[in-house]
Amino acid sequence: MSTIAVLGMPNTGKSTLFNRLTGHHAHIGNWPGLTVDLMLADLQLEGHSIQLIDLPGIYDLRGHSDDEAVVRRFLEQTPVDLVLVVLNASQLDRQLRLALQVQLLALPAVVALNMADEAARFGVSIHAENLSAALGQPVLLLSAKYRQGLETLQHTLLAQLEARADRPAAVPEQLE
Amino acid sequence: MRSVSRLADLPTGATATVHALAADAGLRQRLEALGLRPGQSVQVLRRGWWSGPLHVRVGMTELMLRRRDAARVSLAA
Repeated sequence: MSTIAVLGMPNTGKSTLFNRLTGHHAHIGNWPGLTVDLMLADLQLEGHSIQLIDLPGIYDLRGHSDDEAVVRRFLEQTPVDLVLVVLNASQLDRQLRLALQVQLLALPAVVALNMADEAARFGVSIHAENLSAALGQPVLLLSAKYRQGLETLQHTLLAQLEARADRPAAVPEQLE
Repeated sequence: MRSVSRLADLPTGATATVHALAADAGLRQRLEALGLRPGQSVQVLRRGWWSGPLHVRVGMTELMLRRRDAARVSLAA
């Protein structure tokens, strides 16, 4: 069983993507040390058992809000095999910051640039390959709302899990 | 005429460049996460009546800001 945490800013379509990936089979789970419940779903991808966890939407991994503290405590206490970072593609200019913070923590990650349809409409064009090379993490353009790019995302998640199958799940050394 | 202008004083419709954030760590981090950081261009779209909030655009993001928080954002001359 592999654990993937879904992380993103508010209003990025993070929960829509979570529901698309899990097919609305999510239930509520709670974790020791956390006073809030998190959405949790088990899914099978090509025979691979995956536990997907929807973290609260936050602006900043070093921020001071309650939700930001919850996410920090979760990541400190729960080893994850992969972090799925969900960003609003049309606001990449400021949201990339969250992906950089995850990279700084050396957590294995896949970056999903959601709302790609909206970004294109606003005239924002993104070179996902260049961004991926610069981040050292897979970067995918998709639209959870219109179900575009979801299969590629699933394959990428699986490939990343398989690539690090022999390594233990990650806990960042220092979050603050 | 003051040498340092503040976002709170920027006329509606005008655009300026953020110079610095004179805010405590918590507010500064939140403003930066919303894209309001030094060097960024910021435009005031509209303002609330009297001392109401400012509606501003930074990059591709629009946000509402308390007037007293906007007073902590200084602008480049």
